[in-house]
Amino acid sequence: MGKHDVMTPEADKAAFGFSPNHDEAARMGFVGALKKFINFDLENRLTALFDKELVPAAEKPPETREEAEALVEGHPLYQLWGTLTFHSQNLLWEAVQVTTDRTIDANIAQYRAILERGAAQGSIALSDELLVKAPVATTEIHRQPGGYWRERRADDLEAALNYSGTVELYRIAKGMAAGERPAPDSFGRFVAAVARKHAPDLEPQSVLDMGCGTGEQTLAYKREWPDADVHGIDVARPFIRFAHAYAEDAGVPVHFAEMDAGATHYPDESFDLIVSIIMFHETSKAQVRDIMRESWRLLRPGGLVCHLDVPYQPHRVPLIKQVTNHWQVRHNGEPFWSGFAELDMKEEAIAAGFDPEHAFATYESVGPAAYHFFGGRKPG
Amino acid sequence: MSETPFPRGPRAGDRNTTFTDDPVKEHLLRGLVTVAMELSVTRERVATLEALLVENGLVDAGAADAYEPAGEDAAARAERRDRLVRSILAPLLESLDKEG
Repeated sequence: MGKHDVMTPEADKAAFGFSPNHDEAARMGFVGALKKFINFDLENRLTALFDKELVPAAEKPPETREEAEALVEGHPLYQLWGTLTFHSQNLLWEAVQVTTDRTIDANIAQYRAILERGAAQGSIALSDELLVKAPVATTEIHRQPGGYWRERRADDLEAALNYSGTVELYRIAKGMAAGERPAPDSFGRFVAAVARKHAPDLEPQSVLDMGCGTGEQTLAYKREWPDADVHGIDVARPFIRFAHAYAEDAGVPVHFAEMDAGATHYPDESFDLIVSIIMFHETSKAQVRDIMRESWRLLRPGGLVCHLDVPYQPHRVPLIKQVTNHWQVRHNGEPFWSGFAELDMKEEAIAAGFDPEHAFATYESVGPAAYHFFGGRKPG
Repeated sequence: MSETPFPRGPRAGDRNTTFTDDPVKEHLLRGLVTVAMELSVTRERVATLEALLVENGLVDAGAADAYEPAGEDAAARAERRDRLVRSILAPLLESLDKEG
């Protein structure tokens, strides 16, 4: 073996999905390093400034996010944090777009070839009746050009390729790339491990992944429970196309459908395990309630609902971090980030039908990051 | 259930919102970061080419470090360096002259 991985032109052609070449990967590596610097060095300095200088010098210590914001917003360090965070996001989308533009035709051709071959394993179901709701319908989430569901060509995969390209980059930016690169389905494996913790005796025969996005994580549930029927749903059509082709290319049979998690077409009590990964904070208060009710309706007796989302509930997060998180609402296309964080998800689970004894909202760590888990078990 | 409107967010496609009192300097900073990114890409490209040359036995390891430009090559490089420095800094001097 050489000291490097050689990507032959044939191999490049064969790989479905986001596959940056040498310079594109180098560019993304730089953006990841820039974001890591902003998230750690710069944010730590901002925290120290806030705690050690701005708060002690204030007439009255800030008690709310708004008061903290007023204290810090004029400071050059906070402004520098803002401009670099904004620009790093500009660079992120520019960087992945280069790869997407170069490979989109080949990827669409592969998607069509998979459709023509016939879904030997999994399936894909698109729906012209689906009404995509705000904010996904109205907002460029994370400032992704065209948002999650824009289509500019027949059988478009552009939004999915761009999104998929950012995943590794975000991992570097969160300090998670130290050491071995994790498997592409490691997030799903993590959710499966947490689900096992909550229901050690459960061997699901059917699994639903809500807001499955580009589907890489959905495959983890089929790999964890090979006998189960695994379904993935999302409102973004390019994502569902990508997920289907990705799964078929990987030889993992999963059923993907374009569907709203708050109003699915499945009969009552269809699933033993219902999961999602960072979906809820891209919805709205009304949709959270719809999705939790739908989770309860679709769950079989003895089954488990286990959703994962961001851990930024205000009681866990210092004021200055609440300020920088709320900046994401205004400047990074995250309209429900603060709104989601303010919800009590155990209460939401109970309101949806789960009994207080079996509902949960907790935190679990993976590497340096922690995530919020919530849901419940339906008594058998 | 009626939805509470979402808070104000970024304009679709916006790449130019600024956050400081001096948007001109802010854009200069962003330009510098972008140039640093492209420099980083170029450095990695050169490192890859050098590694491939060594791996394939076309040059010895360290050959580039030991290389000393001479003659016309050295003169052409010096000329390119001077031109680059002038192209960046001369307009600055000219504008200061005008102000002065």
